[in-house]
Amino acid sequence: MRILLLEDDANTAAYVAKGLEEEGHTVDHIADGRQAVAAAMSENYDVIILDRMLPNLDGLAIIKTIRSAGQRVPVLFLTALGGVDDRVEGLDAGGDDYLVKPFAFSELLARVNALARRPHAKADETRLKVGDLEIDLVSRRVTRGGDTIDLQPREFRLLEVLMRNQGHILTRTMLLERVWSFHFDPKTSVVETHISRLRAKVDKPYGKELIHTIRGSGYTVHDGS
Amino acid sequence: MTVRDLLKRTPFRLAATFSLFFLTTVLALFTVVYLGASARLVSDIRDRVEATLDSLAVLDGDKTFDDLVTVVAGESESVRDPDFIIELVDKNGNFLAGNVRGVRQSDHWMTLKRADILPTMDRGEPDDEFLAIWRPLSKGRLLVGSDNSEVKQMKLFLLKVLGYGLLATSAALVLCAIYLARQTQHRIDAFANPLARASQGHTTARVPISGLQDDIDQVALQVNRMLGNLQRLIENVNQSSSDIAHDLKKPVGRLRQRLDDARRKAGNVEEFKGAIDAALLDIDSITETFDALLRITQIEAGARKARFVTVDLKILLAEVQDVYDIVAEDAGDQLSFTAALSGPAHVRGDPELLVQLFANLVENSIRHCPAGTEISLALSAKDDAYVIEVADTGPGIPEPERDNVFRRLYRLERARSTAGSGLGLSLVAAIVELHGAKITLQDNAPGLLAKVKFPLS
Repeated sequence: MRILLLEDDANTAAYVAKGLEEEGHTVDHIADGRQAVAAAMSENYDVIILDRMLPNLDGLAIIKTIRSAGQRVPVLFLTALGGVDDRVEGLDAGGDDYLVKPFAFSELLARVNALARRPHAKADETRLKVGDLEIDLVSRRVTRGGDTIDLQPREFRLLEVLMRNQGHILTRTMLLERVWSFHFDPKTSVVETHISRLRAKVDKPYGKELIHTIRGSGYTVHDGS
Repeated sequence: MTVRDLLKRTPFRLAATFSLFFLTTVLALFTVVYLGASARLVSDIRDRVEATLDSLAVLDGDKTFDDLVTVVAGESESVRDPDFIIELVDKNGNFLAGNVRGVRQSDHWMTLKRADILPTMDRGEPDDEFLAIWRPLSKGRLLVGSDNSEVKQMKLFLLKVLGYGLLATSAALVLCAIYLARQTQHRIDAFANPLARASQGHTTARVPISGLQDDIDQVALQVNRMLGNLQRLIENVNQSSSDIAHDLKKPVGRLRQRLDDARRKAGNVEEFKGAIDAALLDIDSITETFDALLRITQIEAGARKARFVTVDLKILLAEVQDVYDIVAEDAGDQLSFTAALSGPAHVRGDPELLVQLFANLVENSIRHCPAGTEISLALSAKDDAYVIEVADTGPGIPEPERDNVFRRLYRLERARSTAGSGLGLSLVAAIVELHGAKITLQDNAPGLLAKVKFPLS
């Protein structure tokens, strides 16, 4: 993937760029806001990673500028610690996802991967399938190997988010945001508890695991083949 | 103190302005009295002159004119030291009788100097004046004039009386003004000193209250309230800063120990990785403390109010219960939700923060209570407020600690073994405050009852 990284802090930029390049991505790093707008408009990037606070131009202004010029590339913006309103403002301005500094690299990678495949995801898809597990988004029916599985609404939502991102890792924070709309870190094992309930219904009786834990990163759904 | 300094003092300026205004009024009043009294005296004299003329004019006529001459001559003779003058002339202006001669003819009232018309008189002041007027008669003209000196004396007397009065009034006024100005100045000065001390960092300085309950006392009360708030804020900041330093020293120390241990003892890559993972967790928990502190500060700043929407507490609490019932179940607890109202419970608020508020309370119950605890969420409407009760049957919080737990980084002694930043309830308090709600902690006998009251909007 071609990734545009807009970050004025040289240390953070080097850390992010090196990590992404090790994952096989190409990273263009720009520290100046004005140059970044030009690059975003002329080059064809898969994802833009953007610091909310940049010299010369505010990160929000950059998103607004490139969005108003019709550039649809997914934008992940980085916000400062504790910026309660930054997330809402960034999403309002046209950002697609956000990440609070300081972050674990696995968190950044998971979000970049999830963002990059966004445009290809078929929004109107009504059936999702992983191995012999199938969910119907319209009738809200879940089946595995022909058996109908009865899920609570919240469990269904969790499985749906995992299946929509099949093959990609979803971190604990991403799940909290997308399934529960929690934008804070709960002190109890909300995600783990719900995942284990879901597994008990979806995986356990069938002998083969489809929901996998990626240690230190998060969860993913794939059929292992 | 120079005059310029004095002019800069409000009480002095007020007193001076007031005095000036009052003196001007008194002066105007005195002028009116003086002029009125003078005019009255003059008109009295004129009346007297006219009356004399009238009585003599009775003798005017062909037959009696000679009598008139005789009477006038008699009058002139009898009075050796006249306080009035009289002169009778014929049609041609020739002297017929009188105690003065050759007074100039005029149709109007005249003021005549005694020295001019009675040069021979040895008594009276030469500057004394007569008020006189000619009256035309059938066969001549008659002049009568009256001594004006009593008017002059009266005027002098009036001037004296009024002058002394003015002087006395002015003196009293100046004294009164000085007294008032000093009194007020004292009370204002009493402000300056404590305020100067406060600005130097003596947060305990307070402005004195006179007890008069007047406007200055009102201001003093407000100033003291402000100083009190300031003191609390500063103490808060100081306390927070030292708490933060203290709270961070421990995990940073632990982190250092861990890395040091790994550096010295770890024998293989796996052991290093384990040490690094543990170190990362330590750092995350430090970051989390900072994050929570910053969030609290931002929430307290109130900017989020701009994003308030209508929230149905009933739905919101049902969601919280939905998220946490299996978490509670896994911890061996029970979580229930009951709503004692049929319709929705609409309030204006930030749904994200409200979820966090109740999630924090429920999580506190789950984390700090032993297995087998019953946790209940209850929503009801009472006395113009929606009341949300989060109750558990756990160990509760001892009464004297119930206010402390809202303080930043404060942790109960027995909670020190549990992971946590000591900021959860501070965040709860900040969210509650932002929404204009109130939170109280009570004894659930046994356990803790957290009661959040939202005023009905």
